[in-house]
Amino acid sequence: MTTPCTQRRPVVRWPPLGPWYGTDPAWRIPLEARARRRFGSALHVNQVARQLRYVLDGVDVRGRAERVPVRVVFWADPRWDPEYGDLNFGLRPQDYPSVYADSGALSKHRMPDDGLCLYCPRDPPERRWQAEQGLDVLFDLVAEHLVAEDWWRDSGGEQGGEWVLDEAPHVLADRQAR
Amino acid sequence: MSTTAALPDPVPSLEDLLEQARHRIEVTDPELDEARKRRNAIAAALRQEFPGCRIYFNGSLAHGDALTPLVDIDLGVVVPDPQHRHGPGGRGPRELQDRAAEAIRAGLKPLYGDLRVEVEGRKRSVLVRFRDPVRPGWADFTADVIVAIDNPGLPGLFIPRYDTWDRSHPEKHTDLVLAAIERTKVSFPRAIRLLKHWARHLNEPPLCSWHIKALALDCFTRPTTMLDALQVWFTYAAEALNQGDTPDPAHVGPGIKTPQSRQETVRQLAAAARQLQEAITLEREGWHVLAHEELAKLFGDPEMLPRPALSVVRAEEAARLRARSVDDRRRALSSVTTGSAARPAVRSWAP
Repeated sequence: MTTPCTQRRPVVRWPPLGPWYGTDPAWRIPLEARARRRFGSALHVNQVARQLRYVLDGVDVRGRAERVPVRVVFWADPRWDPEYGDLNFGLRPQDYPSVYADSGALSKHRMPDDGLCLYCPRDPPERRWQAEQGLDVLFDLVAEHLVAEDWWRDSGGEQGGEWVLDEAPHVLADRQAR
Repeated sequence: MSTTAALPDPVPSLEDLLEQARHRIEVTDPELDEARKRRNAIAAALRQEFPGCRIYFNGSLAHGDALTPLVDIDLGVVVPDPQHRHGPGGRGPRELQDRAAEAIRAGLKPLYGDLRVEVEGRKRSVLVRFRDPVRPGWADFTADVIVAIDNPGLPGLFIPRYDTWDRSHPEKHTDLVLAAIERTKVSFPRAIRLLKHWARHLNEPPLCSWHIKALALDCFTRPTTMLDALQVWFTYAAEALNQGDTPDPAHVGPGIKTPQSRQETVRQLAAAARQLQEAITLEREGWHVLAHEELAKLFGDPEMLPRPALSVVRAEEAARLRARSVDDRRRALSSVTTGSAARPAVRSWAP
């Protein structure tokens, strides 16, 4: 059983400002296009230094009365954590954004900074979200992840709760096994 | 399919749910009787004031798609003008509107003592405020009365636009709707009721009632289930509005515009089409509670279409995700590509 994550901010190494994928319309337009058509003015974007932040006012989570706000942060550069090392796990930063929703909820699959662990970066591409698939697909994954969290807590949480989505082994468990 | 949730027995289909919802919003016979009584009283006053005139009815009462509570009616009087004194280039509508207003006041005061009739500042209609709600707690009952003149030599009428006149053909509109009701064996007004209710429960209604009907005139061609009718309409309306404004079905007046940006309306229509399709797909796959939930969320009005219990929804969604995960794992083991561009078959994890 995994110990639920505690909140901690990763270290970000800041290179000089300059063009990056988040400033490139050829990358951003396809990323946003379907999400903009689907969510309209409920989708907000804000570019700050070397972060591109999206906020969706609310994603529909089945079994909840109210929509849940979602925040997605794309980082210009790979992030580094003293304990885990490369927080992009070798993926392009555009394919591994930080995704936050339902802040502070007890979960089996969250990052140390409370981000949702939606997919395993070591999995093959067809089992990961990639920027080319668009933000709308990412928000769908968030909705399903939050249902899985709700069900996990309902069914016992840390005392044997059921995680209904497919799961990848945890990195720490891998290291300990080795 | 297995789920730990208790399901109602028998599980209602989406079509059953729409039927139940439609009955909840349908105008009642007493409301119709009362509305017709008030409409007839206005028509009688106008006939007395304008001998030889023609009275026409339109709006939801005339089109058979009224919702409850029914608190407004629409009618018009076509005033004979053999000398062609009124119309574009001639006199404006105000003199005729004032006569109509005075006739309504005089004719209806004995029945509705607190009646108010407004002409000043109105764009098109003379507004009759009965100040006598049909039932306690309901909004006041009102009537929009159009004072029109014939358009000599051309189809349709001239109707007021402040101090001048616009072309329109409200009589043809009602004829087209009545023909659609017959052609679809009343599917048309039933589906229109559902669509009007859908539009009214958004923060800003994306389309007026007439716009909903104008689009339906193009795509409702035969008797159909409510589910099919909604699916056809949402899809057609999104595509049609993406092309431009909706033409006047009578081909007389200007195109019908949307109250907000057309782009935003198209987005809302496409979102509704997607949500309805999701409900249909879920029902087809046997996830009846989730299908119900999606349909209820589409309308967003628990009094019209209550949502299933949240705990039951969560349990069935958990069952669906569990079943899909098993399928994804099986496919991954057999080297068949899992997931799709629309949904990668992800695995949750943690560092």
